[in-house]
Amino acid sequence: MTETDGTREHAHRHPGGHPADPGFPAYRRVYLAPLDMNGLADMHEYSCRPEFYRFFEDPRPHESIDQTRAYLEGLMDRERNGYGGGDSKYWFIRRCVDDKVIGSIGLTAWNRRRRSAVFGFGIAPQEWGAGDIFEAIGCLMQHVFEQLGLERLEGITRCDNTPTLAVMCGTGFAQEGRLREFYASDDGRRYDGILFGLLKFEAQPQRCFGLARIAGTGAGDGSNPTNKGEPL
Amino acid sequence: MIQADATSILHDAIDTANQILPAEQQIAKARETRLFGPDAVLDSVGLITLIVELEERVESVTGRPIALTDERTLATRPSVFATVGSLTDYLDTLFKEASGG
Repeated sequence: MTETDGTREHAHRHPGGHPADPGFPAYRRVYLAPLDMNGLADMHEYSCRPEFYRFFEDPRPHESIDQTRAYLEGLMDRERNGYGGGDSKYWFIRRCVDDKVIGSIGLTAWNRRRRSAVFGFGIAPQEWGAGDIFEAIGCLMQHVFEQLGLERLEGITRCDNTPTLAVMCGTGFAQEGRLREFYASDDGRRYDGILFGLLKFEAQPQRCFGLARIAGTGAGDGSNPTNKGEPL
Repeated sequence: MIQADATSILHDAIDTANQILPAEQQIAKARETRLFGPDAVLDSVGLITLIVELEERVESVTGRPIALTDERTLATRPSVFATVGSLTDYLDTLFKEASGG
């Protein structure tokens, strides 16, 4: 493990002996690790919670671990065969202190010629409010722009998804457009999508890490995180 | 040279943030209003919203960007984000430094 400017590289933390991407940056509370079945139980723990799906188009919680296994296998299949018109890559968001999977983050529609991709994430509801998503996005920025050679990162979220809108604006993404009635909810309603974009020269991973410290420690003063149930 | 009224800028940012924030997180523009931490009005989503609005407002008014997520801000004690008053005072300090005052 090396440490530079507060950023560490975890090369051997995975409990199953499956190394994280070599040289992949982690930060104080979380690191990103490749998907594998060692994370299945943790993933199922949050995938069965209804609140996790609050802004999903298909808001059906997993009722069995077999459902989560099938979903996880589906993500791995996307990594092999691509998804969204391009390549895909996913990572578990693991907590440094105990390697627990607290969410996932990934790229889809990864166009290697354009050097662009779309990213998405999900955080376990029991972890909402701790600010770990900011660390994860900071790690992702470092990795995709410095290691994978991307020049552009995109994200789309539902127009009423206030927590994710705050994450995107806070981490420096520019709002680039409104996709009218982009999302079709299970209840028959349609929702606009908000398109965000971030260029390589705009990326500020240290800002993300700063936001994580603010959100996770009661403004950095060492007090307990204020978790009022919003998914940051 | 930055000539700006920290109180006015923060109040404008609060007005904008209040348009986005839910009813239970409306920020009163009083110095003693606790922004973040135990018994505070904002959760982490609300605080990030206010920070973004404030940074944008400062740049719009002064023509200069400020960072409220840098090491200096995070290391300041008591916390910059504890109350409306502490945030106003921190902004005022940044403006005075930028003005050479």
